[in-house]
Amino acid sequence: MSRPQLRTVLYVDDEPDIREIVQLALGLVDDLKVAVCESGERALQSLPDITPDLVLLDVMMPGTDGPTTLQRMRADPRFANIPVVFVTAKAMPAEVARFRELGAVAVIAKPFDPMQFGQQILTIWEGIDHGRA
Amino acid sequence: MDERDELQQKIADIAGRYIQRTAGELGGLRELIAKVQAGNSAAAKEIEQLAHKIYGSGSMFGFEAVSEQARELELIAKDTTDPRMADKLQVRADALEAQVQAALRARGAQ
Repeated sequence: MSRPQLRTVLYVDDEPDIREIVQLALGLVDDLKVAVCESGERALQSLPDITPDLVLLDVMMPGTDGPTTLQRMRADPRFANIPVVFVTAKAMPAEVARFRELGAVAVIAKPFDPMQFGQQILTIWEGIDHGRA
Repeated sequence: MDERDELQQKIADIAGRYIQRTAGELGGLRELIAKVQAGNSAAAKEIEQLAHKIYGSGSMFGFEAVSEQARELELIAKDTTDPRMADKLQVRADALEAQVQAALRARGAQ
């Protein structure tokens, strides 16, 4: 099966500075649309309109945190197959294993290098088994 | 200036905003610690979240020492079984403030 092109990414983080960095960093990737949300709840509300190919979730957010957002996506047939990547300062091996068990396709540790972030996302996208996702 | 240089310049600008804002949040942190001292355990959760935010962003912008103190603060706030939590928070908040002030001075000197 040919790999679909990554067209739209949704990044969810309560920290506005990091949202801005991600928007700028992914802005370096040609033909990639980047949407951002400030909370898991807002992301869940926006998913039908944004229809992202890939969702990047911060883990620790007030209210609906990243893992809860992922669980709610998986429980909704409309969003259950959208690949999710956690972007987190909580990237110890045990936590990474837990996030993978929850269904994340990858975990990116903060701090990340904004100059490399776009390529990192493209590499993750290329590694996803889109036949299964 | 190509787009990568532009990105680096914008990141530097955002970093400046971050450290200024963090300095402004220290007053609120002190108030939360006072609440913990007064027995308000819910304030510890707020401290944990604030410290986590400072920790995560600080390392993104190269403020490693600020980030490290915020991480310690987060871990202290998380341990709700520690009877000396409020004292430890106070000490760590002092250390965080010292690092924030040092970062501000360093940026001012640039």
